[in-house]
Amino acid sequence: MVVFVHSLGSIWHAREHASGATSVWNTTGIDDGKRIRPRSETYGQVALGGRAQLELHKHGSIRPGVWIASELVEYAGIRKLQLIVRAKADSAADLYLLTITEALIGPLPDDGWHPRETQIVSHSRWNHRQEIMLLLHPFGWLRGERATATLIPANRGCEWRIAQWSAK
Amino acid sequence: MRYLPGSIAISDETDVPLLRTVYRAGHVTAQQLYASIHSSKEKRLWNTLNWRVARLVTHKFLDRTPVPGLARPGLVARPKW
Repeated sequence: MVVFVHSLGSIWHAREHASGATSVWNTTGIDDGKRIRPRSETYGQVALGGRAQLELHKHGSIRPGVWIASELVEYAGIRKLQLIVRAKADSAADLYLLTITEALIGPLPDDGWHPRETQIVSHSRWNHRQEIMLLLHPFGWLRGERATATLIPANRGCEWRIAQWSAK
Repeated sequence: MRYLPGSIAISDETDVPLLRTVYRAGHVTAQQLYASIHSSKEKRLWNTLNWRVARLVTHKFLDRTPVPGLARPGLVARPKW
């Protein structure tokens, strides 16, 4: 499937194998002032394939863009999505991979996303802090304590359109 | 809870299918959009679609832009990307 990778989580892991190959993956975490800890409610990883690892080494980050990615699968309680290779830049994305915190629209309650359409890759929560990595369809929504955010495909990327709740 | 005045509430049942149809197509005329959503021709449905598109354009969920080469001038909606 074609996934537009907008943003990833705060935690990076790398492991070298005896064969010489390296596994690199990303997940969500919360900075508690001392260090970033997983604080996982739902643990999931975005694994980087060889091409994605090359890009990470070259640029120090995965720049926003479209990727051919695996389906999100779960095995032994760990969700996993693999970025395989970049897709053509003008490819229309089937899904958008985004990571948000409570700063966007307030903390998301457990019913703060579409139960069938939105897929949670990884979810970290501690006190009022939250980091959540999701796969959303175009025009998918999130409902936080302060507002609703709708994902709009825009300018070869995406942006949030936010509607605030009234206090009354 | 209510939205602040001037906000738009997007309906999963009516707005989202329309927005995704335009997204997949890249750009469509209002007539093409109507034909893809409704199988029968009814003035009431046409008026409702026009109202819905105008509302989504006003809130910048869709663009209304002339596209060279399209036979029918006037209403063209496409998402901004």
